[in-house]
Order: sequence, then C-alpha cells, then structure tokens
Amino acid sequence: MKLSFDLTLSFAAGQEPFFKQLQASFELGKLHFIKGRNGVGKSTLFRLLQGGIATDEQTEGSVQIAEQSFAVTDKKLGLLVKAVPQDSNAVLINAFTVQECLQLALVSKYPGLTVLPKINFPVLLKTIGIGSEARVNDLSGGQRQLLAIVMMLQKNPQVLLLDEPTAALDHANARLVMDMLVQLCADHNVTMLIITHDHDLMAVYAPQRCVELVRDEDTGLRKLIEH
Amino acid sequence: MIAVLLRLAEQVLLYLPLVCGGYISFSLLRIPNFSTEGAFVFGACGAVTATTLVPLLHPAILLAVAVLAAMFGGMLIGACMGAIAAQGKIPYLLASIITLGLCHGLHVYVLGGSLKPLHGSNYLALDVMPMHPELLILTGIGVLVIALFVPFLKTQLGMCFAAYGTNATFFKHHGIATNYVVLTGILLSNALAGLSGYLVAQSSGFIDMNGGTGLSLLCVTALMLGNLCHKGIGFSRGLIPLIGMTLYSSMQQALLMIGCNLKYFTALQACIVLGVLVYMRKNHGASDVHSDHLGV
Repeated sequence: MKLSFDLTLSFAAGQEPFFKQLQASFELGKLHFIKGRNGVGKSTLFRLLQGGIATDEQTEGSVQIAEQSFAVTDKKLGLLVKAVPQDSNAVLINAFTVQECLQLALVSKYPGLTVLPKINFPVLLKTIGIGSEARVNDLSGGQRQLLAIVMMLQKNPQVLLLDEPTAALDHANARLVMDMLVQLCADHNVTMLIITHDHDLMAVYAPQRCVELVRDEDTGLRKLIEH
Repeated sequence: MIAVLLRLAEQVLLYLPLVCGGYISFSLLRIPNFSTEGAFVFGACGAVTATTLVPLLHPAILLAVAVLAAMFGGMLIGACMGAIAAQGKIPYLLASIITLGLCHGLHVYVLGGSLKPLHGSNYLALDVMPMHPELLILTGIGVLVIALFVPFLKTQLGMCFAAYGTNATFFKHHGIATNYVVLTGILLSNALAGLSGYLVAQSSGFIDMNGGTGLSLLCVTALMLGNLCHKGIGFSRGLIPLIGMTLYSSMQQALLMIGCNLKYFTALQACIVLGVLVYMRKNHGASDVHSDHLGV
C-alpha cells in the first residue's frame, strides 16, 4: 500500500513549470523524511498534496492514496491529507484550554448552534504532562507542537504533513516530539511526511531512507531523489 | 433611592442588547464594527415600520413583530458591512465607516428628518408600575437576552468568534471559511444593536437619527468596566456586558445624584477608556492591547 503522486505546477499560465511530473512513492502507515535546500519547493509540494492551489496557478496530476486516486484539484484530497505548519501557534488558540482547542479542531463537523461535545482526552497528552484544563499559553514549545499534531490527527487524516516540526525546539523537546510521532504513526496508522533539515533526527528515526527534493541545475526542474 | 435603582435598571436593560452585540464584535471577533451605531437607528426604523404595517394585531404579537423587525433591520446593516468587508476585501474599520455613511443616507430617507415621533401605542408599557411602565417587559427581554447569550458563547459559533479574535489563521489551517464566522458575528452583533435601538426609541417615544452616535464608545467603556470586574472577581464571561453596563449606568446615576451635567459624560467616558488602556499597557504589556483590537 503506497502513497504516490505525479504533479505538475506552474505559478501562472504560460510560465515554465515549477514541478514537472514530480513523482514519488511512500509506504503507507510509516514515517518519512523529506529534505531539501531552502526555496527548493518543499512547502509548495506540501500545499499541493493538500489540494491547496493558489489563484493563477496551473496544476495537473494526481495523488494516489492506497487504492484511491485523486486529481490534484480534487477538494476531497484536503479531507484525507492534513498539515501541521512549522509554527504551531498558527493552529492553536492561546487563550483557550487544551480541551477547548481539541473541541474546536472538530468544529466543522457540527452545526453553528451546537454545544461542542467533550473530547475523550488523548492519553498521549496526559503522559507528557498536559492536562485538559491547562491553558495553551502555559505549554512548552514541545507540548504545543504535540498538541497541534494531536488536533490534526483528530480529523482522522490518512496522511499528515509536518513542516519542520522540531525546528524551534531544543534537542530534548525535538526527541520528545519525534518519539511521540513514531507512536502516533503506529497508533493511528497514519502516513507522516516530515520536512526537516536535522540530519541527526533522520539518522535516528529513518536511517534507511530519506527523500531529497532537489533542483536540476540543467533543466531547472525539481525532482525527488532517494538517499 | 429606589427610584434611582429603578432608573438604573431601566437604563441597563435598554442598552444591554447593544453591549452584548458590542461584546461579540469588539471582544470576541475583535473587529472595529462601528456599524452598530447605524444598526441601532435602523433597527428602530425597521420595528416602527413593521408595526405600522400590521397595526390591528394583539399588542403582544406586535411587540414580538417589532423585536424581530428591529433585529432584522440591524442585521441588514450588518450584512451590508459584512459584504463590503468580505466581498470587497476592505479592512473592517473602513468598511464600518463606509456603512455608517450609507446608513446616514438611509436614515434621512426613512425618517425624513432628524427626529421621528412614534404615534402608535407603547408595546413595552404595562399598567403594573405607573412610574416605570416598561420595566417589566424590559426585564423579560433582558433576561431572555442573557439566558440565550451566556450559553451561546459555549456553542460552536461562540467559540469560533472567540477563536477568530485570538487567532484568525486558525481557521485557514482547519479548512473553515472565516467569512462565515465574521459575517455571522457582525449580523448577530448588529441585530442586537437594532433591538436596543427599538427599545430606546419606544421608551423615549421618538426615533433620533443621531441616536446611534457615540454608542461604540458606550460599548467599549461598558465592556472595559466589565472586563476589569471580571479580572478582579471572576464570573462567567457571558455576564461581562451585563456587569459592565450596570457599572457604566451606576456611574451615570451617581454623577446625576451629585448634580453633574451628563452632557459632559462622553468626555468622561473617553477619559475612562484612556485611563484603562494606559493602565493595561503599563501592567500587562503592550501586546495585550493590539492597536486594532480596542482593548476590550
């Protein structure tokens, strides 16, 4: 069972393509790293995988998740693929409690005048010392990152994209987040693609395989190569 | 003393829906929605027009019609501002200023002058208390507003309003359209302002075209007082408008009792707001009071 894609993207009609038949394949239910130099297009790739296409952009291609194939423009893709941004603050509400944040993560499931139901508090958060009534404001960087990830996992995605989840964390917190990601990956049977520049983390958590997005100097096109 | 308390209660109840609406705009969504001032007058116009269209109904039904029409009138102004801001991609402050300009023209057209006396019967008045005939129905409306408002803040929409004010990018990452959240908030906020406009117009016996002027400052002052009280004592956040408006009206009544002229009260309000803002910036850091967030 694989997650695979074949994507072509131009930022505007008539422009040279940024991605031209960019292809890769990842085993489902596993954790994978993607590295690449700044500006090479890692975040753009993640955006496309969620079905996020900006105005004027020209795209074609497909994303295949197990047996299902989706056109890159298909809105359903956004339901199966979720992303946690590099800055976890973007998906958290500082003034809320952890429980309220978890409730709000499922907000689109309920009509406007429904009182949001209480969430079964994830054991994982308890084990790292996050209480349900704790204010998001009071959490450490690592705890905030994990909360953001758990919020996204509540939507039951098949693929979770993480853009440098440990970039702002010290070594201990980075290891804590990565250990939890490995556990979440197994518990939820979700495929995680992680952008990182941290070679130590890659050596520990995915020693066999890392995919690098590179720009071909001759053609200017991006391609994914395996290490 | 009892007369002062009754007068105080009446004033609190008249403006309570407006301050609840202000709480949604200013404190939860944190947008400078000054179109509530226009919605206040247009709500009154809507209610009066609706009741004159169906004059033969039972007064209780006419009251319900007036309340609904007032809220609908307010919502129309909210829809106007929401459409300008969301569809025109205009900043909220500019959108509310443009809406106020449009409202002025509408009010001139509907009212035909700066004051319009209400000739029909007073649907708020009962024969129970001759000195304060409207107090009972106003209390009923006030209780209903608070009884709906407090639990509303715990609903999906209520939480979305608070989330939008704190972190608008949250919705983008969770795949929810922010236009829906903001537009609903503005509609609700202005509907409550329209209701207040009707209550004030019915209570005073006329619609004043300039009746809405300065009401944003009233909201901001009442909400600041309510917030300060909330931080000091701690009570359900849904009661901030009620407590704030009570403190605001108490100050007014106290000034009246010592013989002050209330025509200078707006200046005093401005001083209170300034004082609280300076206090908050000094004690809680500038980040607590974003320049666009009115500090409530």
